[in-house]
Amino acid sequence: MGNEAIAYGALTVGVAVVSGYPGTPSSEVIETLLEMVKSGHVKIPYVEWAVNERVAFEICLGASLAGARSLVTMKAPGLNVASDPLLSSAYSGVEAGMLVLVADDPGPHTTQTEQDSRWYGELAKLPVIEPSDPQEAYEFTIKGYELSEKLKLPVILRTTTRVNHTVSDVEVGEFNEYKYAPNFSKNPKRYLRAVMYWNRERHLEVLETLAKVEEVSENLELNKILGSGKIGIVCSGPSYLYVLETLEKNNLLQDYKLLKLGLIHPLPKKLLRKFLENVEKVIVVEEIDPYIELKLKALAHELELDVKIEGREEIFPKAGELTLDDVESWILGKKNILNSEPTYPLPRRPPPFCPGCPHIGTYMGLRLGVSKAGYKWGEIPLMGDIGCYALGLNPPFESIWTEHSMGASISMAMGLKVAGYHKPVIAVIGDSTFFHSGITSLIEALHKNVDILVVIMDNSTVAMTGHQTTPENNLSQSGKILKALKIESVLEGLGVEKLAIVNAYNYREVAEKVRKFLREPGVKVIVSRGLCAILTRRKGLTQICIVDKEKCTNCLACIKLTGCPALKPTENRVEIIEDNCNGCTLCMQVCPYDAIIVEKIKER
Amino acid sequence: MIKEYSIVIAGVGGQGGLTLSRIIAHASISSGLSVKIGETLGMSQRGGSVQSYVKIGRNVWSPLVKNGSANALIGMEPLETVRALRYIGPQTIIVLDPEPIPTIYNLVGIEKYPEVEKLLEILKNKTSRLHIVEARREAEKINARMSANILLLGKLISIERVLPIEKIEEAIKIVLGAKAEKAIEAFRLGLKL
Repeated sequence: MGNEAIAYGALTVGVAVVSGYPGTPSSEVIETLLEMVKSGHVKIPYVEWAVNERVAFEICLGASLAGARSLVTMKAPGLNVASDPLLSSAYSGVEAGMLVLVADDPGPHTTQTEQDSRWYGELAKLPVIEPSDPQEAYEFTIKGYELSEKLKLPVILRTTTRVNHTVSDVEVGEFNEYKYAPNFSKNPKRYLRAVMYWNRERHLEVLETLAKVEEVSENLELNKILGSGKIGIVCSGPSYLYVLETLEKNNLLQDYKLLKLGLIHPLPKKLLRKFLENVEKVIVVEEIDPYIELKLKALAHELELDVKIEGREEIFPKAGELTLDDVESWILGKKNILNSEPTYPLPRRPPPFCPGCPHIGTYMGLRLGVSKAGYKWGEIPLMGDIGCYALGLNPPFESIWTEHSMGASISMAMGLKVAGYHKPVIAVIGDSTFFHSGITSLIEALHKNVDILVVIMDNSTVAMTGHQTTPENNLSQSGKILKALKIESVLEGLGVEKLAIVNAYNYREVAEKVRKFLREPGVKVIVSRGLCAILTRRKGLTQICIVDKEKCTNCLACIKLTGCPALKPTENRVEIIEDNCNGCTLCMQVCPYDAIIVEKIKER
Repeated sequence: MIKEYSIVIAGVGGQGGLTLSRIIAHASISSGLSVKIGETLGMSQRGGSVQSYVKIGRNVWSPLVKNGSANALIGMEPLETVRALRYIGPQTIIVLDPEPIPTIYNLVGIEKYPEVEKLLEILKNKTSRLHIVEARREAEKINARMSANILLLGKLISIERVLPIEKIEEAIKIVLGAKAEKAIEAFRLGLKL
C-alpha cells in the first residue's frame, strides 16, 4: 500500500520523530510504523498519534530543530488545522529534514471537501512534491528528506487516495539509523516571529531559497519527459498513470510529448519553458483544481508563447475523481463517456452502525429523551461532528443536521443560540474529536454561558479511521505507557456544573438525562460511554442475544428502533445473526414482547 | 504469460473483498507478475458498498479499470455487483453469489430491495458469461461461512486459470495465517462447483 511505502521510505532515512492525527486516506503510514515498533522490527525514538494536526506539526518542527528527522501525517482538512504553524515554518526553517504528508481525496471518497492542498505550497512558501504510485511514494519520501535538508525547509509530500490506498509491488531499500546529537541553538531571527523586520528579512530569504529549488532538486529526478510529439501532455500524481496507460494501450506514446511533474511547488520554470517552446498544444491532466494549468497559462503569457493550454478549466468535469475513461476520451477526442454510471436506479447502501455500536444506544436515548422533554424527534437541531456517530444521519435515526469540521458541533450550536434561535440545540461529538478541537469550543460556550446540551459519545477510540488511541488511553499503540486523561476530569476542571456520565448501552438512562437537561439553562454535558463495538468484540464476547421463537410477533420494532445489522427479518419472525451479535441488549430493551433474551456464551 | 488481467471485486464491507484482493496480489507477485490494486473504501469498513480493482500482468499502469473492460468480476452480493455494472463488457466473466444482503433502507422499510431476478437480468444483458454460485450457502456446508469470498475465487479460477492454483493456495496461507486451512478448503470447493 502507498502509505506503507511512505512509512518504509521514512525508515530508510532513519526518521526519529513521527506524529500525526488519523484521517483517511493518510492513517496507515503511522499505523505501519507503530506496528513495526511494537513488534520489535524497528526502533524509532518517537512515533505516536497526537491530539490534533497542529500539535503534531509543532512536535515534528521542534524535533527537526533539535536535529531529528521528522514526519508528520494528516488528511487534507488536517493541514488546515496545522496551517498556522505551517505558514510560520517557512520563516523558521528546519535543521534535520521534515516531511509533511498531506493526503488529498479527489472523489471525494472519505473527506468533507475535495481540497487541493497543492495551493498550500504557494501560501506557505514551501516546496511540494507529488508521487504517482506506491513505488514513487517510497522514493519521493526519501527524496523529500534530501530536499528538505538542502533547503532547510519542511517539504510537503502531497498524495491523493489513489497513491495512499493503492496496493502494488514495491522495491524497498534497507532501513537505516540516522545518527544525531540532539541540540538546539538560540537563533532569534529564525525562531522569533515577534520582531517585524526579521519577519520581512526571512520572507525575502525564503523567496530566494524557493527560486533555487529547480536547480537544487535537479539530481533528484522528480520530473520526467517521455515521447517527442508536438502535442504536449502535462500531468502529476496518479493522472500520469492514466495518461501513460491510455497512450501505451493505443500505441500513441511517440505521438505525444509527456511531461510528468513531481515537483509541484515551485514549478520547474526552466524545464517548463523548454517544454512549452517545443509543442503546439498542451493538455494538462490533473486531479481536483486546475493548479498546474493556471500556472502554465501564466507562464506562457509571461514568455509570450502562442501555445494553446487546456485542462480541467475547459474540458474535464470540474469535480470528482478522474477515471481512465475521462482521460482516454479527452486525449483521443472522443466524447460522451465521461463518468458513465449505471442508469439503473439502485438502492443506496450507506454504512450502518456496526452491530452493538454504543452510538446506537446514545441516539436511541436522545430520541426518547427529546420526546420526553416535549419535542418531536427531528424538531430540534442536533449539530453533528466528525466521526462514526455521523452515520446517525442514516435511518433509522436521521439524527444530525450538520457535520462540518472537527469540533464545530459545539461552536455552531452556540452560534445558533447567540443568534437568538428559540429552540433547544444539541451538539453531539466523539471523544477524540472533543480532545482534538471540541474542547476549545466548549471553553467558549462555558465562558459565555450559552444554553446548549453537549453529548460526548465516548467509545474510547478513534473508531472510524481504524481504532487509534485517544488521550483517554493509557497504553500507546507502540507499546508505551502513557498518562490517561479522563474526560470527566477535564470537564470538571473546566467548571462544567451540569454533568452526567451515562452508559450508552442503557438507552433509558441516556434519555432521562437528556429530558432533564434539555430545558435547563447554561451548558449541560452528558458523557455517553460505551466501548466501540469492534473493540468489544476483539476483547471477547461473553453473551449474545437470541430470539424466543414463540414470543416474536415479527412487529419489527427491534429493527426499526435500533437499525442493528445483526437483526434480520424473515417471513414470520426476526432472526439474530449469531456471528454478528455483540450481545449489547439494546434490541432486547425495546422489544415489546420480551421476545429477545440473553444467552451466555463461551468467550470467543 | 498474461499481458494484463483485471478483476473487479464488488461486495459489502465485512465480506472479505479486501482480503481477496490481497490474496490475488500475493499470488500474482509470486508468479512473477506486477500488480496494482485500487480500492473504493468509502466509509465502508462495515456494511457499506466496497469495490476493489485488481490489475495483474507483465505491465500494469493505473489501479483503475476502464468502463466495460473487466476480465472478471467477483460479485459477493447481487445489488453490489450491479453497482459495478460500468466495468462489465461482453468478455467479462462474472462469478456471483446471488444471496442478497439488505441495506439499512430496506431493513427499516424506506426502500425495497430489487428483485434478484431483475438484477441477474441486467447482468445477463451485459455478458453471457454469468456464473451463479451460492457461495455463502456452499461455504456454510463445510463450516467456512467466512470464506465464501475465496470460494468465489476458486470458481473463477476453474473457469479461467488466471493464476496457478498452488500460488493462490500459498497466498491464502500468507494472508490468512492460522485461518488458512478452512479458506483453502473453500477455495478447492469453488474449483469443483
